[in-house]
Amino acid sequence: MRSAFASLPTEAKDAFVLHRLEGMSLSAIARRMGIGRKRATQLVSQALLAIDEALDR
Amino acid sequence: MTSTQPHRPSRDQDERRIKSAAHMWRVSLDDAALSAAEQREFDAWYAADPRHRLAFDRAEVIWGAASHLTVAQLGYEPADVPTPMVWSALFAKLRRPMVPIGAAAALAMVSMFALWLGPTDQHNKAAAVAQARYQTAIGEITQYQLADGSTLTLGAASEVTVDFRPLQRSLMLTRGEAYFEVAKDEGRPFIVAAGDLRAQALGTQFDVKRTPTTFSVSVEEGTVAVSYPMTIDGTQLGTRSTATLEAGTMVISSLMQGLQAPRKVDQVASWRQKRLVYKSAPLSTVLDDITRLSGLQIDIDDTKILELKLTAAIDGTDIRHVFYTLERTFPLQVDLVENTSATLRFRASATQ
Repeated sequence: MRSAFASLPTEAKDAFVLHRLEGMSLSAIARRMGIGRKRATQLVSQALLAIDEALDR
Repeated sequence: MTSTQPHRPSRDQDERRIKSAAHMWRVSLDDAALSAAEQREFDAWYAADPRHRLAFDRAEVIWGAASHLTVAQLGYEPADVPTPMVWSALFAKLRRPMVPIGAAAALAMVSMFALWLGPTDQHNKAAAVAQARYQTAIGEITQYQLADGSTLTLGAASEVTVDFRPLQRSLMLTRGEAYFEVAKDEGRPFIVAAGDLRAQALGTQFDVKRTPTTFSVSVEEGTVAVSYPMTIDGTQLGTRSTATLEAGTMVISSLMQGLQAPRKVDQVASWRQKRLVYKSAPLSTVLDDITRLSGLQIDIDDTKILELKLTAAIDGTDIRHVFYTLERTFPLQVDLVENTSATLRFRASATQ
């Protein structure tokens, strides 16, 4: 799981930690990172997918 | 989100696309800003393919479990987080009402702090070391006063062992069902284990139940933190899923699927009055309760019977009434043999 997470782009790591570990809303993350809400959703999902796939290995 | 492809993608690509969509949807659904059209789009996607449903259910588990990961587990560099965030996140964690069960170290620290502050308390706590085992026979419900002033009501054919120490009150439900009225003792958490399930309270009233394949916790008063290893298709993963239960809610954990989402419950531990209250409960649970209350051996001639769902409030003191309810609710016939065993089968007229 660590290596799967490490291989993610920094943006995805940041968005994921802010959203799932720190409980920040998607719109707040979007504002903070200067991106759209849709993009924030994609970044968090990308990290979740990496964790999902790491669980199968 | 799905579109027809000009050429057929490989199976792996297909799976990955579905997984990716499932996670996108799970994250989107948490957002209050989801429009009605997007909601409809999700419903259509979910219904379109059984693989979508499976992927989404799995995404749901991972989404929930992810919130219990730590920065250290992920190997995430804290330097990536802007400084003000670190502090606000820390305070957010400190404000949480319940101590997460996984944080044993933090818990011990809180307890030690309490001891250090109160020498008289320390004396009382040292005196409260106690080990005991409580057991009930089939059909027997008994109430016990525990060394710390808590009350234990033990259901039929159940067993609880108690190990009270100065810093922690540990109990283990090894069989059946038990209801706890916990005496408040700050800094000395009351933790009930049932298999791999953990339920922690400081001062509250709650019920813990186990069957060979499921564990459940229902809360009548106060708050209980429940944890269970994160599980996918019967495989336990390294992290634990946790749920904080408020009064009037319950949570089920199964060996196959792990901790499910908490839900509302009307009556907690109604078995204490030998009342059996079920809300869409599988008959396997109902029959297990009947055996524990009456000692009757129950045979079924079709495993489909175990999957029937019962919603009812029944007086458990009269086993005939329980069977009457089953016969009235389902196309079932119950044959009672000399008050020692019973056979359940689908009524002949119902099968064809």
